[in-house]
Amino acid sequence: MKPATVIKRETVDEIVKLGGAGLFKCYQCGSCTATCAVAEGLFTSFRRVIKYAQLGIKDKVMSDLVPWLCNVHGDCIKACPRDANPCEILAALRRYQSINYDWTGISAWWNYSSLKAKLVLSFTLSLITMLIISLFHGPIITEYVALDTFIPWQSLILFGGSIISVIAILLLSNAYRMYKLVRGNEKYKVGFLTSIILILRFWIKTEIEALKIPDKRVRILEHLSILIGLGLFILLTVIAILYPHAYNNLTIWIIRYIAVGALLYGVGAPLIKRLKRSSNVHWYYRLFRHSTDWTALILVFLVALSGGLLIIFKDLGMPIIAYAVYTVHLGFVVPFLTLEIPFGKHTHWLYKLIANYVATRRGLVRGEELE
Amino acid sequence: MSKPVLVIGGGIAGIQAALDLAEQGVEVYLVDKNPSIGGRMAQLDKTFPTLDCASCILTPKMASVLRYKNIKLLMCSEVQEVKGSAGNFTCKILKNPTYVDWDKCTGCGTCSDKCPQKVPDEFNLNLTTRKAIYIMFPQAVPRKAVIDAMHCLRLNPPPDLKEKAKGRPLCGVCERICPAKAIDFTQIPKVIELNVAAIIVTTGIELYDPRKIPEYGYGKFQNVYTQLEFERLVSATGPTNGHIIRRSDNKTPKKIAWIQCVGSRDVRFNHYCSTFCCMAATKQAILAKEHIPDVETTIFYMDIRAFGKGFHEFYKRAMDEFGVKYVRGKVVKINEDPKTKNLILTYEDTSVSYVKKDVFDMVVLSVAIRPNRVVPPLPLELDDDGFIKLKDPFLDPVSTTVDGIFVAGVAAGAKDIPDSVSEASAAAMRAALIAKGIEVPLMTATSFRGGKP
Repeated sequence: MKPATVIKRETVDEIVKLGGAGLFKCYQCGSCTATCAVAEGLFTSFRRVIKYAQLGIKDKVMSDLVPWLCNVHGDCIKACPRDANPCEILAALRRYQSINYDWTGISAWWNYSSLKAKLVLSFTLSLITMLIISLFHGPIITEYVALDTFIPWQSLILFGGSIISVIAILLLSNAYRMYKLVRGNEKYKVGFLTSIILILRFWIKTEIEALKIPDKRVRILEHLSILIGLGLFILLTVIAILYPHAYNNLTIWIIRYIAVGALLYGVGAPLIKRLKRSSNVHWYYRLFRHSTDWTALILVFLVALSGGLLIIFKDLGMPIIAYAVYTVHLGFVVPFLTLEIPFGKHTHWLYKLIANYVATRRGLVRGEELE
Repeated sequence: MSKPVLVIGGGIAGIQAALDLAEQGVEVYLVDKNPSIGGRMAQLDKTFPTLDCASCILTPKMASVLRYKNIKLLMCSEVQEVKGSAGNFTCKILKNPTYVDWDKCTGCGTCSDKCPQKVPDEFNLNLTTRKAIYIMFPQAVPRKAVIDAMHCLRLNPPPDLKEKAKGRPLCGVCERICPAKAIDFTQIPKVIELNVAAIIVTTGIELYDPRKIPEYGYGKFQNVYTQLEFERLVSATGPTNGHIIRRSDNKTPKKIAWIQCVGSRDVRFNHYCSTFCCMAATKQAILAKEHIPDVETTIFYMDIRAFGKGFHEFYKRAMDEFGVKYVRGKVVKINEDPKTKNLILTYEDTSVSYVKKDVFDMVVLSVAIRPNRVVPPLPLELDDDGFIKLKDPFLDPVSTTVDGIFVAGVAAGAKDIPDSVSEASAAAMRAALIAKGIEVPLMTATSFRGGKP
């Protein structure tokens, strides 16, 4: 038998604390869902999970997939007659859910603590890393830039590899916990292959529709360039490990600059708009106000900026500065990898993937156009 | 000897207040900007929750207003200035010319039959036309003709005709045809000064302009109506003689939808609830069912606010007896099928929790209400929503912030007809005390047992 539904006041308080301030403004009219381009293709509602949250039904809030199906187009914000900002409530629910997926408890600290505390911890980690590098680095060659000698590949792979393995274990275990939770006992209605085709077609269609609208286009392009930048960097790292000599190839050289450019644009543009806080950048002022959104941007920005400077100095042939920038770069990479990726906002791609998969296989994605 | 009382607005609240005062022997000036009293209620077909004919309850009251010698009607008039304090207000009232001598006019209607100028009819919410000389509606009280100077060929001739006429007066058909010789084009606006003891404000409401909500396409899509327009449509005295037909093709609709909370309970427009729309939509859905037996009626709502006596039973009756469908969910968008002029509604059906689209032949918007403008000329305070601020909403709900000025009906906040009427009686009582010179509170020793308060 299913355990009885648990209603807890703490659930509501936690969601409000995580950024769902508009939760109790909502009077459940369904405007958000009816106006949503994503919801139009689904047999589910973005409104319903807000009702569960209002009531504090913890297990329902925990196992609902829709916070991860939201693509933050922002139509609901304009349509809401109560000015409840449904997008932000859904973002708060994402944070609430990801706290509960994580078994270490670090995610809870990361999401509830202030921006200052997060930055202090991150920069302490950076400083420790930089200190370790400055103490234990290899010989400094001043004739040309030799990053391989400054920090030998073997030790980089050893340390980096072990960090990445830990992250992978954390992410996979959390992903498994999420899957167990959202999977439930419901029977899958759609086959595996059909579901993949269905979901891909659905997302490509909705995003292409969204690209036609100017203010959505800007946001999608910014997000896409972060994705491209990160993807290219992962690719470059793999190439560098497999074929160290390919690093001097012209194509690789171009790809490297493209990746840096994409990352700096994708992270820098929203960061600047958000810092401005003026009324004409309404979107950034109304959404992503939580401290985790700031750290997500700041850490990626610092990593991208220091990485960009590093390759510039390397190409200019300025060894001493390049070594210093390299140290700083790795200093930023460590907190990004150890804190932001497994516990912060950057887990959303993984949870989104699982939620989309489960939703599609349950038959929540409409196959045909809504008449 | 009592001093007179001024009642501003001749709607149901104003009528009730005037009658109650007159009954007590107080002289009343009833001011209305329209040529007839009756107000919004005169535009309604039926009333909820009893489905009484609105005219049948209203017209006897209107007629008795005319018959009371204590009530002086000041039609087509507007209050310009109010000075003074409780017991002694000096009011300047602008009496607009009607261009018809009302002492002579018999209300036969010959003039409006012959008048060549057709003008949109405001009483029927521009769904039909009237003439430039007109009687406001068949049951108008007083039943006198008025000339709309804006559209009259004689009083406001179009420039090209004026040139042709070379100084000779144009048209004048009504003047020639009137059997009572009541037409008088020489009338000019007059300012009347009144000295009154108290003022009762029953200025009522206007509808919020649904064009400000572009999602619903009112004004753009022909088959989107407001509740008041629909009320005229089902009314036997309305533009279609009570037949519900579509604006686009004069066909009888098979599916009608009501959308609740259009512009009300919405922070983007008005955040308050207009209180009567739930019941009015329910009533209209029942009326639609009575007029067209096989019609499908759906009401899109967020909350059904059936709070009054008999309201909830009425709502249940609409569901069970008449088969009115209630769907919980806000319609976010109306699209028009360009060929059939049918309307496609997008909404989330919150009972199944997913988005639906449905086609309707006709859509009625339950539009929010806005208070009519009263400040200036009245020296009153308004609350945040523009309604008249009350001195004490709990224990003194008819007093405004100014002593001697009382308020009744929707001017103080959204309410239905019974509430407006009882408020009007309460306001009349309070005004009568001042008019008769009885001090409030009544703390004279003789009023209490044993001579002590």
